Amino acid sequence: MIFEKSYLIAPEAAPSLTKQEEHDFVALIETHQGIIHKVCRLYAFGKAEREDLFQEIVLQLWRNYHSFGGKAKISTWMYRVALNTAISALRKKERRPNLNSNEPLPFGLAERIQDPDLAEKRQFLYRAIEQLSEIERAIILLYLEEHSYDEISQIMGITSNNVGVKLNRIKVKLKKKISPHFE
Amino acid sequence: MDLDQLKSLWEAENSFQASTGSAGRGAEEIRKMIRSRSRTYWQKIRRNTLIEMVLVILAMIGVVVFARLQRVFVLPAEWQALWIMGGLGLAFYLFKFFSLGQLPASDQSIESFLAQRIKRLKGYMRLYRFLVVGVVPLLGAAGVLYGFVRESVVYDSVWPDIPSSTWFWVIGIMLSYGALAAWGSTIYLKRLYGQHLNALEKALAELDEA
Repeated sequence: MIFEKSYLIAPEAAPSLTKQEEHDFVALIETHQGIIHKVCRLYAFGKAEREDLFQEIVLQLWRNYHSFGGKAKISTWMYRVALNTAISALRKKERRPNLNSNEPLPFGLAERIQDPDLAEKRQFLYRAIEQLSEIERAIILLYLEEHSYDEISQIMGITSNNVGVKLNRIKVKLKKKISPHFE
Repeated sequence: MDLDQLKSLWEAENSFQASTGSAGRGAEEIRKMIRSRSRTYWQKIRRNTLIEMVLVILAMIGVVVFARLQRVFVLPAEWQALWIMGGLGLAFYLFKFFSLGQLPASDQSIESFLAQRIKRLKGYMRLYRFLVVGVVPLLGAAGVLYGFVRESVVYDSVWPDIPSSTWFWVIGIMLSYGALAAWGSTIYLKRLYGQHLNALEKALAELDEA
């Protein structure tokens, strides 16, 4: 059908929240911004792209803040919004560093790790995750962030069984990519 | 290496300071972000639609000024037709703008968000094609008929005697235009939205895959 009623809805607008709600929201982001940084780190490549994505995620969180209402766990809500924003953002040409790339890790991470062996392993870990598809990156991020299969299934909108199947596939893929460097 | 090893490696640098290597965003910076303009692809389409609408309004004003100064229109019906066309043009852009509507709420599951977004983008593309392939040729035909009517009224003549071969050409041109518009709009829409739609569909298919 060409004309569907659902298309004829009011244009997007910033929510009209009170000063107190704005204050609470800002405090929430200040406290939990690590979640946004982690999503940006896996979905955007290059400083400018990361900055843009960070800002867009904060904006989308703000626009959806009125519907949050403490019904879900903060981290579950934030991951939903952040991952939806990251996955649906159109990047002109995704430029993922390859596994052996010498490109420095984001936020000067490599320089901050004293143990060269550990630094190298982390470098490969990040590079390997970056090679995964957008959906796989979301699932592995949630898994590494200690979310249960049920929580991951709620965020992703798939069954817990499917989460398990996908995680196994991701594990095989990562193993193939990383194992030679972890021997 | 198993997933537990991977997890321990991840956890080892999981504190916020270690993961970002920066001091994080302050309250003022976050406040600025929530007052900024969204730069999503969706918002860009909506902004472009608004720009197109403003250009059409300006063009309308130009036509009205020109018609008044040059006294182009001789029949009252011509002015009425111009207002109707202007109104239809405006309605088209308003419909296009509102058809993009509000983004699906980002706080739903990724599967549901992607499905809604794909549905809305496809709906927009269908609407666009319908207008280009269906409405524009109809307006073209109306323009040709108007020419004949004007000719007969202004010169107080009977319906112009047009040979059947001319009708054949007129209909042929209309049909060719329809085919060309269908092909052109498909290419144009694919170029504009195809990459985005493909990426969304690919992600949804991967998610639904058991």
